[in-house]
Amino acid sequence: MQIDASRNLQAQYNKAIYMKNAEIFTLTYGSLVRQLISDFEDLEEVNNQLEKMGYNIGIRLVDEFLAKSKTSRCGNFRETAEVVAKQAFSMFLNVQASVSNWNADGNECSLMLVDNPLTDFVELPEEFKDLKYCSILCGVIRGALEMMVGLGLLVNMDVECKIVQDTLKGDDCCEIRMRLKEHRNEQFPFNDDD
Amino acid sequence: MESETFDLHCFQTLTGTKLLLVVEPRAPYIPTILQRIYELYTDYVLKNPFYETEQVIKCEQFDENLEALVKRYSSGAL
Repeated sequence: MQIDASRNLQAQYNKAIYMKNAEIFTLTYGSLVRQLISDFEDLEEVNNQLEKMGYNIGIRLVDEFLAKSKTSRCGNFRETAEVVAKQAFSMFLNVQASVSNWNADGNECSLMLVDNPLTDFVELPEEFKDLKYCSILCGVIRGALEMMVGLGLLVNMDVECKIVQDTLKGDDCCEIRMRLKEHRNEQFPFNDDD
Repeated sequence: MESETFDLHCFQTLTGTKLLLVVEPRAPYIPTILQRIYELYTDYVLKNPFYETEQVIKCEQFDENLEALVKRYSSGAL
């Protein structure tokens, strides 16, 4: 009985430490956004910068995700969206995202995030209402999917992501709309005529 | 690809990165070691913010860990 109690305590302690580590991440992101706002002043430009940073993260993150999760190739955009939502978000942000609102063509969907560690403790003031706080996530998804080159087919996924709902603006979840622009064939750097 | 003096193994990731491994003929556990090397690559090379993609990899930590992995592999305990 005593061993159980002490194990329980240890588990609670570990969880508390883990939550503190996660807070560093939230704090870092928050101070990054503040600095960008003071550097650029134009909120649209800040949104673009966040998205670009996310893109640079995404192109590196995708290899790590593939190595650690050992996922095989996804057959279509639908599977890809599911994998991104269920596995990638839970691996890196420790949250579960769900996929919904597919359009008729099957190339647009919504990722719904109920919890978002980036926005813990954040309240957006009125003058920053045009700020898309989670733009970085859009960039990460765009970067990661652009690097996915299918074996043998060499197909890039050109995806456009935008924030549709935001908990900081009063909505009850964070919704990211993912739109597959087109399946582009990778351009070879040489001509067959040479 | 196999020849008399060496085997050449290629591991292609879903992002198009190719890992080429030259080993002595009929070496065992190649898929495992390729997977491990891929994981080392993602950890030390990609997480280094100063590494530009498609440049020569000059990360000390990557080299050290890679050497340690190869030593463990050749001593038999993976």
